[in-house]
Amino acid sequence: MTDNIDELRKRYRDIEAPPHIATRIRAEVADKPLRTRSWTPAGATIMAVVLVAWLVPYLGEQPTTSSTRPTRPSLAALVALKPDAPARTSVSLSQLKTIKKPKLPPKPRLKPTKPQTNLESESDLLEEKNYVFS
Amino acid sequence: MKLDDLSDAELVRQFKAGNHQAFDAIVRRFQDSVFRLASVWLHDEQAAADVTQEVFVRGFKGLRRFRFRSAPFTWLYRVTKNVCREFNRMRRGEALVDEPPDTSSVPDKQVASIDTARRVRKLVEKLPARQREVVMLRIFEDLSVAQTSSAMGCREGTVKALLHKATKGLRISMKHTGLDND
Repeated sequence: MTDNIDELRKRYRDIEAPPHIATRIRAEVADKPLRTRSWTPAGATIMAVVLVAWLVPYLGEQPTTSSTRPTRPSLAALVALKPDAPARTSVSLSQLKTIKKPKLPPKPRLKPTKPQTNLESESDLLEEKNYVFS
Repeated sequence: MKLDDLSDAELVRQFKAGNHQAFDAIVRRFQDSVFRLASVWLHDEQAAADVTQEVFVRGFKGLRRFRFRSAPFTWLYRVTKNVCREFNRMRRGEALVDEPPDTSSVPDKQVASIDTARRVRKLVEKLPARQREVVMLRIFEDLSVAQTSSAMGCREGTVKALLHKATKGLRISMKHTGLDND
């Protein structure tokens, strides 16, 4: 049965394309350029136009002498003109650890206005003692 | 070195480099395969010829951007499949005429080709679509399992399984109808 499949395969491979197909294809692609230009994006074209438009004023400009043309200060010169910033005091770690607390003001103490009444006088105690031992 | 002796990939490289002759060599090399596939898929040899032309016209545009991720024939096979699908979609609604075409003005060799295509198609069309595809690529076009899987967009194991079923189905089909019977 495998022979039958081989025979089928052989017959299938005997099928050939009509000879005029190659000619038709050649005629069809003959007028087509091999390298297409359609890939050029419209954006690139616009960018090129903008770039040219930007460059045109500079192209016609004459070089001026240094006496008439104002000199543009360089970035280094601008940096030199900048006032010095106040020097920062660096704080060491040990200083951070030993921060001294400000002293609190003394706690206000109120003076007693009248004498305490719950205290017994020494004479009363003595009297009592005397009473116990008597 | 002659263009016809170059490998498929090398031919495409030559074409991409701007060699027009390389495209002619590509057409010579693959036109029969593309026509065979189209003539079995479509039930019309004239349509198969039109499809073959369209495939190569698209190939002329598309091969410039070919990135060699697959074999050139695998790529052409996919284009053929798409064009055939489009063609079938266009003529949907028209009744498919499965009768021998008028061959009075066709040379004898072409008549034999048309007749063979019709017989092969009769045997193969009884298979499910995927099995038919495997038979055409693996058995008829003699592609490797890897190439077939790449063309069909499935795994090699799937191709082997489909091939097994397809061979079985094809044998049954040939047993019933025979190779030479219509």
